[in-house]
Amino acid sequence: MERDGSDRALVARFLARRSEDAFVRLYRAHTPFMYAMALRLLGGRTGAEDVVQDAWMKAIARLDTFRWESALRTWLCGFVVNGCRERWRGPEWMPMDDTSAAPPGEPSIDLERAVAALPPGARAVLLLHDLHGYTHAEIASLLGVETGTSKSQLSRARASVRARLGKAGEP
Amino acid sequence: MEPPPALERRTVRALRSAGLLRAVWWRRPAAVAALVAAAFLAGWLTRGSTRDASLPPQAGGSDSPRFALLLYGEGAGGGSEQDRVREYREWARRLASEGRRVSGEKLAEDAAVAGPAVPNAGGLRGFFILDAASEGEARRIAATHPHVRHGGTVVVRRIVPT
Repeated sequence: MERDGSDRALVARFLARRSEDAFVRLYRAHTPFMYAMALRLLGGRTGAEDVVQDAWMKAIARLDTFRWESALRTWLCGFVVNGCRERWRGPEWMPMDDTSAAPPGEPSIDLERAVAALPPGARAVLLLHDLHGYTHAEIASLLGVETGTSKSQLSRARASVRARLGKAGEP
Repeated sequence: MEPPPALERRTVRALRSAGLLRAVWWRRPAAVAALVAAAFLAGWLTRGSTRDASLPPQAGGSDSPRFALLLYGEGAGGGSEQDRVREYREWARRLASEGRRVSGEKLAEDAAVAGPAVPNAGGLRGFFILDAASEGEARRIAATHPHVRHGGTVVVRRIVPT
């Protein structure tokens, strides 16, 4: 892939000299994506900047051990997901019982608010799968859960969002 | 989605502080000279004092995040009050010797309240203000404060630039 080739060149250049210029090129190539992911995973709450900065600190410290078994962006986003997880409060997952119905009396709300209203773990599964294209195996690895949990949480999260949006039936 | 421009500068600075980046000083001699002059004027080159009650706000162009460490609780540790103060001052001096801006004060036990009462107004024993690259780093530093070892609590709050 074109991005993979350019990422390899940027990383090699950075590791050769550890120059600020080389880092800034890497930073500008990937931080908009990382920042957007952090904002969404945190439900728009504060902390996204700290998460991204911490992610770069950890990634740069370990960059010489990265083996290109995944795309560089996927690896970088792993640090973002972990950083967001440290900030989650309360229950992370959709409960086992059926909660797809919107709370009574609550009016329909827009998509962004519906997603932000999900528990953080379920929100992460929904965003990582439907928005960022991660597979269930990758999500399970990132979040430290079973693949089956990722699948069931995705199903419940989608149902909850649909219910809150006031839509009926499968898309 | 574009991140705030200041995030890039903070990240670069944090990486440089951690020794993970090499600064390209030779490209900016004028900037280096200006930085040294500003640092001297701001008193940074005389750091080592832990009682800088007039810690400047983020003048001089610094956008390094600052955090307040709020010390609650008495703690059950032994030693005299003077020993405790000396210990806390030594902790701050070690941070300052690493190149970090830090200041702090001990608070008297009596507290006067203006406005509605708040719980445990007198429980705040002292505070420190310091620079840290991130909230995570500030939390890690707070965990090393001797107040924690003596059984007290250190609350970390990010200072919002205004």
